[in-house]
Amino acid sequence: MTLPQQHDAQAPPIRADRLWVRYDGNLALEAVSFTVAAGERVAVVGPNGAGKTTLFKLIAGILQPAAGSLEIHGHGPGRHVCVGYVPQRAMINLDFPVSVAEVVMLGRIREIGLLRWPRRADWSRVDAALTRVGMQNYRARSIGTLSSGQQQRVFLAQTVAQQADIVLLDEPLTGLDLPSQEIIFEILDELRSQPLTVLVATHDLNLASTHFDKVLLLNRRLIAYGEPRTTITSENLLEAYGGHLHIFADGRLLVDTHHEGRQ
Amino acid sequence: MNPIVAWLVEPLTYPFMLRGLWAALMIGLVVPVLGCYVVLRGMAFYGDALAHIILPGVVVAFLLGWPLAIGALIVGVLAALAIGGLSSSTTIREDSAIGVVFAGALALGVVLLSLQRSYAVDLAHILFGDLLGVSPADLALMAVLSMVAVLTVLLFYKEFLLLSFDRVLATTMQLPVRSLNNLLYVLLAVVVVISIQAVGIALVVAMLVTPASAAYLLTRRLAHMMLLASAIGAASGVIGLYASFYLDVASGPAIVLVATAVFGLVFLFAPGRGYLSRRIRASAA
Repeated sequence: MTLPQQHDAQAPPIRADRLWVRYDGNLALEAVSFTVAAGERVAVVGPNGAGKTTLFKLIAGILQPAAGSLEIHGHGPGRHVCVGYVPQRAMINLDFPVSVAEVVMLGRIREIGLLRWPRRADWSRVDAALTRVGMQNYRARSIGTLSSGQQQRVFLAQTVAQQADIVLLDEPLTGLDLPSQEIIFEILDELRSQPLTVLVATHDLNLASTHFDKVLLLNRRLIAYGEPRTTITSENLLEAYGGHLHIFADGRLLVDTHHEGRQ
Repeated sequence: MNPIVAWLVEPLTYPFMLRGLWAALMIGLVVPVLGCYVVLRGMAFYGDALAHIILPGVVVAFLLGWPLAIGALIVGVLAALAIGGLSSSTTIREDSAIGVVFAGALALGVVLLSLQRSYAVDLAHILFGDLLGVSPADLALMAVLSMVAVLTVLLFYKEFLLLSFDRVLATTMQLPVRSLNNLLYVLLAVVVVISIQAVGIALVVAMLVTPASAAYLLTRRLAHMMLLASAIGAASGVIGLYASFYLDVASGPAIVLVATAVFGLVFLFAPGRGYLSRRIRASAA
C-alpha cells in the first residue's frame, strides 16, 4: 500500500486544468477548468449525463482523465485519503448486513491499517463522528433500517471519521424531505469550521442559489462557475438544460428532470 | 449405558466414522464463513464453477497417487487467479467466461478419469464426496487449510467487509483492491478444496451458499452472520453424518439435505425476514 500524499499548504484543495474524459468512446467532460478554495461549498449543477459523477470520480481518484491535469492540495489525485466521496444512494448495497458504527469505522480503514482490528480509540472517534451528525443513538442499527436522510448523515459521519477535508456528495438531497435536507445543511454548516471544502451534485437550482458559495454549471463543458447570482442566469441555464427549464413568475426555477434524461 | 448415549457413541467406535465426524465438523464450521462473502457478493455461480474446474486437478493427483487435495489446491488457486484476471478484461462477460472454463475443465476431468478402469466408482466419490474415506493425512491437511482460511478472514475482516460492501470507498481509500480480491478468490479455492472431500464437486456450492443464506435471514451483522452460518454448517455436518450411518445413505448428500432443511425452516419462520412474518406484516398493513 502506498503512503498518503502530503499536502502542499499553499495550493488550493482542488485545481482542475482543461480536464477531458472519454467514456466508451463518448466525451464525458470537455476541457473543464476551475479552482475551489479551502472551505468553499460548491453546488455542481447540470442535467443527467452532464458529467457530475464523472467529475467526482476524478477528484476521488477512481477515474483518470484522458487529458488535462487535476491537482488535489497541489498533487495528483489518488494517494489522497483526504477526499470523502459519498456516491448516489443507488450505488450502495443498503441490504448489506453492516451496522451504522461499522459503516463509519470503514472511513478510518487506512488510519487503522492492514492486519489490525479497530481499537477503543477508533471506536470513540466513530462515536464522536456520529455525535456530530446527531446519529449517536443509532450506532447499533443496521444501515438498511434507516431513512434516506439518516443514511446520508451516517455517510457524512464516515467522511468525518475519515478526517476528509474535501467532501463530495453525489445527489445527497434527492428523495429527502425538506427537514432532512435542512439537517444536512446544518451539519455542513457546523463542519465548515474545519475548514471543509464541499462539492454537492444537485438538481435543485433553488437550493443551489441559496445554500452555496459557488455554483458550477456543467453540461460536459463548464458553462459557468462562480457566485450563484452570476451563474444561475436564465441564459446559462438554457444553455445547460435546453428546453427542459421552467421559470415561474415568482422567479423560482424548475428543471424537468423527468424528461431531460431521455433525449 | 443410556440408549441415547449408546446410539450416539456407537458410530464413533469405528475409526473411519470418527475421522468423518471430525472432517464434517471442520468443514461445517469453516466453509460457511467464506460462504458469507459468496452470498453477499452474489458469487454462487463462481463458487460452483470453481469446484468443477478443480476436477482435472483432482484426477491428475489421483492418477499420480498424490493426495487429492494437493492437485485440487494447485488447480483451484490457478483458476481463482485466472478468473480474477479475466474479470478485469471486458471483451467477454464474466459469467460466460466462467461458464466456458467450467464446462471445459469438467469435461477434461471426466475424460482423464475415464482412462481408469474403476471409473464409475471413483467418479461418484469425486462428484458426491467420500467422508468415510478420509485418511488421517487428509484430516491433517484439512485442519491446516481451515486454520489458514479462518486466520486470513480474521486478519482482513475490515478490508473484506469494505470490499464487499462499498467498493467505491475501498478505491477512494487507495486500498490494494485487486490484491485483496485475488486473496479472497484464493481463499474460496482453499475452502472449496476442503469441502470436496465431504460433499463432492457437485455439492460444494451447497456448503458455500446454504448455511450462509439461512444466516443472512437471521441477522443484520456480518460477524453474526458468519458465526450463525458456521453453527448451521457444523450442525448439518454432524446430523447428516449420523443420518448417513443409521439410514445407510451417502454422507455428502445427507449433509446437504440437512442444511437445505435448516434453510427451509429459516426461510419460513425467521423473525422479521422469514416468509411467514413477511406475510403477517403484509396482511396487518
